[in-house]
Amino acid sequence: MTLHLLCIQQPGRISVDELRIAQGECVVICGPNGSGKSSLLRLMAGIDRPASGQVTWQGKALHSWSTAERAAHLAWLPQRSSLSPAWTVETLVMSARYRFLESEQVSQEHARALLEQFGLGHLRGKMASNISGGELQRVLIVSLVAQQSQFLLLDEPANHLDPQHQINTYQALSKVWQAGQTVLLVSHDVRLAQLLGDPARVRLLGIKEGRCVFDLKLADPQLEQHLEQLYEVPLVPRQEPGGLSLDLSGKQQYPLSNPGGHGGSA
Amino acid sequence: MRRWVFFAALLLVGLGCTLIQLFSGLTPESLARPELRAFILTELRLPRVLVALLVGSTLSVVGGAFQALFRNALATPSTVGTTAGATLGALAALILDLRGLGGVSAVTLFAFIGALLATSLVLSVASRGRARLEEVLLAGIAITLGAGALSQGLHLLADQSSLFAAAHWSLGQLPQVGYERVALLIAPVVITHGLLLSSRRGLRALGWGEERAQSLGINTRRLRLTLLLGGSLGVGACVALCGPIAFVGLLVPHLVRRALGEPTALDLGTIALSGAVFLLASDTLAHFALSEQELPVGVITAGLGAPALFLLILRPRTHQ
Repeated sequence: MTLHLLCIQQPGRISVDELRIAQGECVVICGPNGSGKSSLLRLMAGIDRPASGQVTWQGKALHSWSTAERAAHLAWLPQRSSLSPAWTVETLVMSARYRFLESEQVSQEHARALLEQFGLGHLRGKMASNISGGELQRVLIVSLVAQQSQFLLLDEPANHLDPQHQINTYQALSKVWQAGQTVLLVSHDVRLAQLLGDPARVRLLGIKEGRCVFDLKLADPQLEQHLEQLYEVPLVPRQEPGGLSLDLSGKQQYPLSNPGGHGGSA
Repeated sequence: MRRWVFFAALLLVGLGCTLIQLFSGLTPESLARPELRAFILTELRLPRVLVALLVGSTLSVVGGAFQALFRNALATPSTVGTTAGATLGALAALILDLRGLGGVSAVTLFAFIGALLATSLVLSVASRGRARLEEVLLAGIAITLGAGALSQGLHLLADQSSLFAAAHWSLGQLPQVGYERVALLIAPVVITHGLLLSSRRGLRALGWGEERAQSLGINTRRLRLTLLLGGSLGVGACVALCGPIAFVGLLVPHLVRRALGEPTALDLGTIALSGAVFLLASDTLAHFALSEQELPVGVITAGLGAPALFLLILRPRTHQ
């Protein structure tokens, strides 16, 4: 199963010649703010249609799949979710199982099992509007997983979170990928990508001004140079493949390799 | 536990009001004559109870569904202009002295036509591919204002008696009708309940906003049209028969939500049941509030509804 983008033109925003994403990959779309990462993800999720060019899934144009079929292939989590104030954590996850024709009871069992699996079982009766931002983000990821689609697309899943919750969120995503799901995510913070798992398999797409400027594995020795060009910020040389840090001060070294100890484990 | 208490209370109030409506004011003499008793109970009083249950349930379930659809706690069955269209139709029938059709009075017929016209205008906006829900809401407001302006204009053509009839109609009153009218009401009401109740899961998932809802597998355009058409059909039929009965569609979903706690906000079945009992209880009150004459039930629902809504706002929310 492949998601295939060909000659995509979105005037003023996106210009991509060709891009293929295969099942089982973990792709981080990175780039500075306003580079078109989110727009690209929306095209891939079938939320927007390209002005010209084609996004195809298994050779068939994405928008010609029915809404229900598309939901079975691609699940998408926007950067900001609007939530119903009436939802508990459990109903929130249950509501993401819309595509299954199943009883409420079955939905509920699935939701509970998934929440337990992600260590969030204690939250299930709480109102979704009353839990912390970090907890909510992980609950949202659970809701994405609950959809049981082949590809999971996430837009800035750890934005606005403190470092501890960023790490927790990426570890949750790592778990999802290790379990065999295809994960595509947008992030402007490449340092977090090393938490996802094997750097020889995590793929980084650099987007700048709507164009794909590099397409490399996280372990690739060329990556630093490309990242420096992408962000126009100097990078601290990494000690091992997968460990990356940006020099934020300009002078002082700012290493953040292997936070949580999940980095270059390969 | 809370649910059981709630349902037990509903059942008690519903049964109590039905018994009062059926048997109040019956003298021992009339009860002693079987044919008279049967006539009063089954031909006069039972249809009225049925109309109260059907109309209350419809207005409430549509109110609850529209509040979820528009993600707006202020949405009512009238939000998309259905009631304004019906009111215009009813006024036209009264003031221009139009004729009815078969067993259906002119007021009912033209009110229903007005409701359908207003609905088709809203649907034409909502069915455009890229139409946002706010635009549908705005279209509803525009229709309400436009129909209101036309109604005002019609008043200038009216004589005293039709003005009085129009004012009385616009208060909302459960009519004394026979089974043939109840039968007319049943078809649209059943369709409304069927369409709305079967859309519950989609409506819940709409809480994610339109875009994520689509990626969850919901055909949001179809869902929106189903809800608007289904809702307006039932509301149109109810308003055509009874006039605009205020507050029921706004208040009952809020009452149910508060009574059961927020998570059951989309429990449309419970909302429908509660609405049925609420209107029956209001009508029972309307029956006995004044000794000489009957109060229009719309006055009672508004009279109960306004303070009840205030209390709901002032009472602190309880979270689980």
